[in-house]
Amino acid sequence: MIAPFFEFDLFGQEVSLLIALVIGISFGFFLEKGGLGNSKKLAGQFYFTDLTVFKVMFSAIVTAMLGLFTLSWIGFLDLSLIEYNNTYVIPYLLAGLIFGAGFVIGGLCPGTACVSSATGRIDGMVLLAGVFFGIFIFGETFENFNEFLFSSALNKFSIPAYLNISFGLIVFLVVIFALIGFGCAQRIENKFLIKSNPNKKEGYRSQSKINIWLGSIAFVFAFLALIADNPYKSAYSFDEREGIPIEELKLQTISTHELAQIIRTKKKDFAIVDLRPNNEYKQYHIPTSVQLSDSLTLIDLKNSDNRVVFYNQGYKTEESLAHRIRDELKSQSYFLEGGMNAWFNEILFPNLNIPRGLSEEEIDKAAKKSRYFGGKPKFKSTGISKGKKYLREGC
Amino acid sequence: MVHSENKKYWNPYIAGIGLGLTLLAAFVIMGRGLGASGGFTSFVSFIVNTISPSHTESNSMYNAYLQNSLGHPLADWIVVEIIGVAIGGFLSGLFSKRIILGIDRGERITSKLRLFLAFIGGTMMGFAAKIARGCTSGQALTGGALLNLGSWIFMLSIFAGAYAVAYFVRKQWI
Repeated sequence: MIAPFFEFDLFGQEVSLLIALVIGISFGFFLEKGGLGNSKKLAGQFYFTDLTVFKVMFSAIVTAMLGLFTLSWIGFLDLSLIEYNNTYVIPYLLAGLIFGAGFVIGGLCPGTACVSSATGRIDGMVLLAGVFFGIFIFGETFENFNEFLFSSALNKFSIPAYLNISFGLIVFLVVIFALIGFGCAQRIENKFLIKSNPNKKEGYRSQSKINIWLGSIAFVFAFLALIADNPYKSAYSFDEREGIPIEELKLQTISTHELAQIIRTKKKDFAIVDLRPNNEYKQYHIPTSVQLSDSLTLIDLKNSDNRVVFYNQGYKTEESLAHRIRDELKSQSYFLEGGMNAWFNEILFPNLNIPRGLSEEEIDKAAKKSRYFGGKPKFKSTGISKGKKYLREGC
Repeated sequence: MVHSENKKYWNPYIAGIGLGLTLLAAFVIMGRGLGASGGFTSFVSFIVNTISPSHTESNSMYNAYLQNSLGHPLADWIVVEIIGVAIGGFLSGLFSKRIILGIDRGERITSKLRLFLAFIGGTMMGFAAKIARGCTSGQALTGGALLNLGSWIFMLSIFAGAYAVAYFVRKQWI
């Protein structure tokens, strides 16, 4: 993974300002080209006469979202290094209502007002002055309602974490929602256009072909996201050995966290058995685990009456051995879910940047657990805002 | 009044994809999204601090925006980016001959009232953007693409607020 470039120190702070300028120019350019520097066009959104705002905004969201998902899934971009903000339900709902009212009263939002001003519109400039004034008023008064700003925190950062469903499914649903929305927007606009100007119809027809193409591409990417399910790459996934997937044997399984708990509490009635080749066992094995040998056979384990946790590199294990384990030790044997790969990804080197909706204590616990076993948690401490001090917005 | 509608804008989906790719580039290169109100807050903090340094000292918002790893509050990523937005908007307007000194407004409203409402709307948005830690760029667009829960709450609430008030200011636009 090499992106985000800045996080991987490919360049310094000074260069980042140059990049800011280029990205800003591109941002402003496309806003203006889309017509979002024109307050009349923007306001049309709220009277169903011109739905450009919805179209531009959602095609931008869909593009960036699918791009992020795809780049993260192929392993080019580390999505977990991009910051998420906490969710303060009531403050955000209230802020949205005020902002939305201000939007239709003023006709532009702060970013588009910048474009409007740059193209000579006085209403844009005056609106910007208003934005400055609003920020100033906030700066002068917010200490009186500082508590409110941090109220009703959900401590869930992303929609997939909150709903506890797959990232890919949400991506898919957002794209479907957008595509249906685009279709409706087109119909609403056509109705209005034909009413006001029957001659204009043809020009819009010629655009629709390319729009259908673009929509199809978005749908394909969204469908791939649905199948891919999770955009976060696991740091460790060594080759699976030939063998039979453990789930086919219908044996009991145990999660890495349960196993970690067993080891930490030093439970006596458990044995942990590493099924990997001896050289790999020597390199690293889960603490207190042993290997099968002439002096420790399955029969010995059976006679000991201990419960036995088996693990391999991943989900698979050699077939004849797996069958023997099932036959000899059926009720007292467990398999570690995901094997050594999962142990690495979940216990030793957990990626705590992924917005799973863990509380601060849970993150702390996971970090401690990782260090206990000699691992290193991945956690960018500057991420998720902490405490009740007013922090800079991420964007 | 400006009659800029006659000059053709791009297919909104193409412009949107361009915007989306710009946002994606920001994620890939910088690991962050786009923004606007954050840059304006740096400006405001800088102005207030220039006029009265003692006033900003005990204020955590101004302080947060005055501290900067490059040493100057305006040598900041979002500040430079928003200057870029103005340049980009100007260049696009220049190429399309849409640089027109004037006021965009509906036919049933005076320029004076339009400007007054623009100021009021701007004030409301500036204030609200600070509560939400971002505006349509930083929260709705950037957070929207990230599937950030708070951003979607804010975004949907913006649409709700705008549609609820639209009827009362219709004379301004249609």
